[in-house]
Amino acid sequence: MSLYLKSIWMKLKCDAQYKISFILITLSTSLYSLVSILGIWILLDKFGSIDGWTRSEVMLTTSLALFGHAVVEMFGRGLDHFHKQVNNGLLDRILVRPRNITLQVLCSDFEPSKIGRIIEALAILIYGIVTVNIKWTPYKIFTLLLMITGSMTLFFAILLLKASFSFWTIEGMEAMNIISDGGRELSSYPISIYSKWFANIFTFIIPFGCINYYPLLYILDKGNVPVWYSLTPLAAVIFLVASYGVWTIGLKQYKSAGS
Amino acid sequence: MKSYLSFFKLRFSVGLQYRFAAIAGVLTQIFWGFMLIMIYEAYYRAGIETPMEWAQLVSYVWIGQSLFAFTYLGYKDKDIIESLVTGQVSYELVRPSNLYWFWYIKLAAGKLASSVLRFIPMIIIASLIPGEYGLNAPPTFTALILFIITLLLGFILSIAILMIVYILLFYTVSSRGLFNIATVITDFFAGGTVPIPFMPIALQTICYALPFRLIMDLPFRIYVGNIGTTEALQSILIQIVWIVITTLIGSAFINKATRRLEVQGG
Repeated sequence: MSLYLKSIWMKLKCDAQYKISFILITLSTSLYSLVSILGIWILLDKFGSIDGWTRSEVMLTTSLALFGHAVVEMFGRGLDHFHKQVNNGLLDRILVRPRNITLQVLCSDFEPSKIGRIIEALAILIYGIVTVNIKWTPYKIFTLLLMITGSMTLFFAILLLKASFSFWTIEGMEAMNIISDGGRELSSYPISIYSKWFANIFTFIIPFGCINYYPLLYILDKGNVPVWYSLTPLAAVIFLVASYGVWTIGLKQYKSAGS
Repeated sequence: MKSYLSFFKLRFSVGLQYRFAAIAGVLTQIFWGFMLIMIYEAYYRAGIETPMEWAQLVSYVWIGQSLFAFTYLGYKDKDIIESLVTGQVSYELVRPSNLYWFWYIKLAAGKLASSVLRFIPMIIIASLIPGEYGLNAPPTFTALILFIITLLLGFILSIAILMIVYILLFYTVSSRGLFNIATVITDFFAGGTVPIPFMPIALQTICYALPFRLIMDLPFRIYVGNIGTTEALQSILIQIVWIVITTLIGSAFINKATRRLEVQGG
């Protein structure tokens, strides 16, 4: 852990050398998600609600999707660029060092510019919490924390899965971005708005719905759902275990591309 | 002129090499299209009055996804960006061709090549989708012709605007930040995030005052029949005026930028 913090600190010091560049990049990534939030806002303004969900309620689903994605983009940059390390042989250097491999890959890069997105996500989360009338109980606060953790876990697991694929192919990694970027975008809305088959895929296979929609039903007292709905974010942990499995298999059978 | 033409051909065939990226692009666009249509369907279920009919909206989504690479203002040319960072650009200035048109051709060819590979499969797939979720033909033959004209003029305009962004890169080492900011803002005002008719009136007024909507919003809405013949013809004139303005700004600007260019190192 201290090793990881140290590598983050080094990266921060590097970025601080290029102030204007850093500010511009932070501004651009923040603007990108701000515009997509604005898009949702405009449509909800026009239509009033979607599938019985008000603007404030949708802002809750959006913030949870955005938050996990942004945090993972910030800290998981090394995994995101893992295919490059496989390609240029940097992975071999990592393998011979007597340290945890996953940790080393994570240490290799850090993206502080995503801080803007994290702040935006928190801002609309607070907006949602303040404007929606929730009867808070200690357990509901626990559920909210569980959702936030679940969101980060799920997006991290997807990133790990993406990185694992580069053991087999380093081409077409863009296609994998459909899952993370697409997932963030689709789970900005409550999963119930989609067709049944589509919602099922993103509940049971890649559990995007479990990190915001189902537990929110419980928190918002929508449709008298059973209490265990509040525990659905745990599905993200199952997904993480599965993708960690793929990652280990990949690492085991990895043969370097040569010199 | 001949040298520009052969240069265009060269860049175009280089662009065609990236087939794998094109397949990934098509898959992304199909996924995105389906997702957007499902989101709008959920909105439309509320049954309130909408500025676009359902069939129009579905076609708008598919035509937008099909022409994504053609109309998107965020086209990145790695060579140009790199030449600015490494100082390679100074060699290009030595060449006896005008840098503005040299880059212009490079951008146009690259953008065209990357979009052709996506456009054709996308249009076929989108029209094969049955029922009320697929791409419809334009309502009239006139609409189709006007669509093609405005789309092409929009393409020319998009390159001229893109050129201004690239020239701005002369002044900064942070190409990524500046470039992405420009892309996000122009895409939003072009109707890339939300179709302009769905926006509040105040925002619509801003969009209409800016040139960006002439690249996406205008041709797409002509195609689906949301903009009539008279308005389309007027808009063609506005497009031409904007093309002239942006090209003049761009070429004046590039002269100014290159005059004070300093190359570091030997």
